[in-house]
Amino acid sequence: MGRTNTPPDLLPGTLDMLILRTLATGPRHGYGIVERLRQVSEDVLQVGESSLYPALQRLLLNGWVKAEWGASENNRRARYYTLTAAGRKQLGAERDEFERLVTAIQRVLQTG
Amino acid sequence: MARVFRRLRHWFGHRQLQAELAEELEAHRTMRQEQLERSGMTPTEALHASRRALGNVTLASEDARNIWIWPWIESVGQDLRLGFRGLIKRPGFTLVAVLTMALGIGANTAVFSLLDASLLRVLPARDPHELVFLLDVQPKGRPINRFSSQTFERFRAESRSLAGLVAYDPSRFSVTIDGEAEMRRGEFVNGHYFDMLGIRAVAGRLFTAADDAPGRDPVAVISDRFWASRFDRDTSVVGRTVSVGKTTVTIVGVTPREFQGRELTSGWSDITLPMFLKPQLGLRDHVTFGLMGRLKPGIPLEQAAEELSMIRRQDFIEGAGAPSSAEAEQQLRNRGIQLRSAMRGELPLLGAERPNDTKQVRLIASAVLVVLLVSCVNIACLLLARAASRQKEIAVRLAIGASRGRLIRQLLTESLLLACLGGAAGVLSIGWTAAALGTVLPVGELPYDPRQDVRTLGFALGASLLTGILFGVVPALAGTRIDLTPVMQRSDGGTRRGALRHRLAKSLVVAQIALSLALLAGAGLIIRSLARLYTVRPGFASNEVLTAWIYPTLLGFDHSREMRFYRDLLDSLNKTSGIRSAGLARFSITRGDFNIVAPGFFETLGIDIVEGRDFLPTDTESAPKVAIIGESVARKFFPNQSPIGQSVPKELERFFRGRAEIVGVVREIRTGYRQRMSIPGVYAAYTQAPPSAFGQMSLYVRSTVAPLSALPAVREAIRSIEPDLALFDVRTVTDQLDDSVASERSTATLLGCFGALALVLASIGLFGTMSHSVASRTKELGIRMSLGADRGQMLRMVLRESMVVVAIGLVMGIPVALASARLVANLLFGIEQVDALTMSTAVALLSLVTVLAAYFPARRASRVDPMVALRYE
Repeated sequence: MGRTNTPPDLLPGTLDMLILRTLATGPRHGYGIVERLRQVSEDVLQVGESSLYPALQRLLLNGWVKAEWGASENNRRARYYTLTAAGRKQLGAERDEFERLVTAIQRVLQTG
Repeated sequence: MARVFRRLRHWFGHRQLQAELAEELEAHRTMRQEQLERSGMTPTEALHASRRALGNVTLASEDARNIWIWPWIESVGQDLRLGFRGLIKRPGFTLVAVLTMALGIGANTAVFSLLDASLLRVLPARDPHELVFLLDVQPKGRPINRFSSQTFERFRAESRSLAGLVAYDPSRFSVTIDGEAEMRRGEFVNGHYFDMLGIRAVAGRLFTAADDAPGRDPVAVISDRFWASRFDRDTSVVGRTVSVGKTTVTIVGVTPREFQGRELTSGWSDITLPMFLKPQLGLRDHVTFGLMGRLKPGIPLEQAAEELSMIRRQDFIEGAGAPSSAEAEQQLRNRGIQLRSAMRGELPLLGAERPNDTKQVRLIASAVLVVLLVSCVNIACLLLARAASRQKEIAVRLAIGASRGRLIRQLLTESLLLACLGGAAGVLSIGWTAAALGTVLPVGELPYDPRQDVRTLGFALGASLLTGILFGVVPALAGTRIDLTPVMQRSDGGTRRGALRHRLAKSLVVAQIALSLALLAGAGLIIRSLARLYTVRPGFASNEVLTAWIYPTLLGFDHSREMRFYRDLLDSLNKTSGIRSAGLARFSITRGDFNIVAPGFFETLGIDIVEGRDFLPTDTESAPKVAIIGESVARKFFPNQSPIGQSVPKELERFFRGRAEIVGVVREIRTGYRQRMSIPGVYAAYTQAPPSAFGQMSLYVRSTVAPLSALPAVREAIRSIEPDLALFDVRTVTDQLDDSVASERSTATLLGCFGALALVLASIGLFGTMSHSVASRTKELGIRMSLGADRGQMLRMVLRESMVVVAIGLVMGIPVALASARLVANLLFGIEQVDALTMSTAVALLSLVTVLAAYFPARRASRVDPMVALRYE
């Protein structure tokens, strides 16, 4: 199936989780997600559109987010993404899994 | 599941979604541009920067799309479109390929549907796995399904393992409808026959045990075929009365179309009557019955067979007394009952009972398979040549980044497309193909239309896909293996690879020639054998004689009435103007060595009486028994002396049930197929034969006019004696002899056509390959010419090259042909399966045609203008 362009500096599979987390605070459009990620991560996470939109489509396909057209802050037509109940559950699961992984990695790094 | 649904929704609305995605991306970019402007960039800078940041929009949207649709589906669609376009661009090639495949796949599908109908299906009865045929195991000979009525009654009364048992007696019936008498095949069965099988009527009802008791009104059930052919499927046939023999019977119902009696195909029985009518309507020499039973649920075959064997042995002991010697006891132990499953009919096509049919099926199936194989190889050849001419296109696509796998897939898609088109054309023509093959395959009538049969269509599709891959894979692999640089540089590109591909094409031609030789040699053998058959003189005047079967006992005649009828008939015919003489014989003249004939038989057929006399009306039952023998019998038993007045030799006494005096010697006749060389000929007088030998006769009439125009006079003569008597199998004796080799004749025709087709295909293959070879070597040829080679040399060079291919093909084909000759061996008459003349004719024919096919490319090579050739690309 299609190529998934995650930036090399992002752990595989984490982009979906980050998007879901960003949407957990409320509906956003694509640009909003990118900006939010950039701000919160203090410019560390710069997600390109070429990975963002395929990821969003993937989330739509899995039914974890919904998309609706709405008006942006500047009164432009923009597509807003909302987290669904399934998406919220998925976020929880991915988060647990990620934390487990990070803890494990840290443990290895500290005892090494 | 929800994912699949969402995918599908996306797939159907993908244009709209595509537009939405584009809009979304554009909105994204604008927002970034505004942001950048806010941070102090000029609008132009911001525009460019935002565009840069967005990156490759097409790639992004494509990636986003690929999440939704299975990308391969889309590219398959693309391949199909490309494939179609490619096929349309080369209509000549496409037409040849599709027609070839249509024939190959069509023939194979037709064979499949015929074999499927008679091999792979089951009787359309309720729980057919419980149905069995009973076979009587005797101390000598093969077990046969023939039983006396006493044995039947005994089984029925005593067996605990059978849920049902019926007897049947196939026969012929003289059916009179609207004053018109006709012969129909049919049978007598017990009343509960249809109940036991679990068959339901499509019109009216089927008779039951209640209808099968003496004194009941005579009823009959007719087949769907009879219903369709004689009554136009009119339901008013139920309740209609017809005369069977001299008895009026009421048609009560019609059996379904798929019910073909106890066989899967070939509707044998047109009319079925309850058993109680047999004494008044049956053939007198039929004294035994076939038995079919239904096992009780859960009872294994062996257990039932064991039980029936016990009953059978008990039957013997009561009939012949307890065995008195060890030998008799052993004999008794060898008796018993074998049960055979009735699921696939009484005489399954590839069963041990039909060894010749098995060989015939194997022969035809192999022949159509070889045709398909030749077609495949041929198309592979053509595709290979095409791949070469598409080298540049392929190289370009490889250069701009198509993967080799993707190109192979596209080429394969094209092949599959071709094969499927061919398959579809094959299926459309299957009615015709099946009819042609039906004459050579011993299958009989199909109870359904193969074009609407799922299994047949499935087979055609499978065969198409398989052949598509088979002929497509080699050209696809070879065609995509290209050295990019030389091809792209427009130089004489990829010469080494080209040579390789060329060798490949040549080996395919070799394979074609080898296979064609096998087909041609097989066809040649059969054609030669058939030709030999026709040159054999039958030894009598077959052209002028009309023949037909008559069954007076079907009218319920007893022996004396039957004999009186024969005598009256002969008298009447002999007095009829336009008829020179008439004769009767008990057995078909194509059949055997012994016959029971009436006076006038020899004269009618034009068989010379060499010595002595014909039978006379005075050779009555009470007169001394007389015999007439053929010349070779006379020579064998009475060398150097006249047999007239002698007693028949001991070996022949069984035909006369004792002594008989030889009163005449006749010329040998040569009829029948394999026996044509020698029918010894032993004749008894019909006036002296026992009553059990009678029931039917074949009538021979020699007229002064054309034989068939004497038919009305013959019918009139019969009608004046017996109005209800029908003639059966009316034809001239020549036709009768022809019909006896009908299957061989159609096989020869079919194989001949296949052989010719293979020959044409092999020629096309060689022509294509050599043409392409010449075209791709134009430059080389030009150089040769400019260095002083003359036209003759060029012509010879290219021809020599073709000849090598042909020679290798022939050398490899000879062993294949010899092996295939074994398949036709049982159809041959008068020639050996290794026949030098046939083989050399086939070889010569193939060489001639292929060299002709190679001549045109060779001539083109010799006409190459060196100046043009050197500038060529």
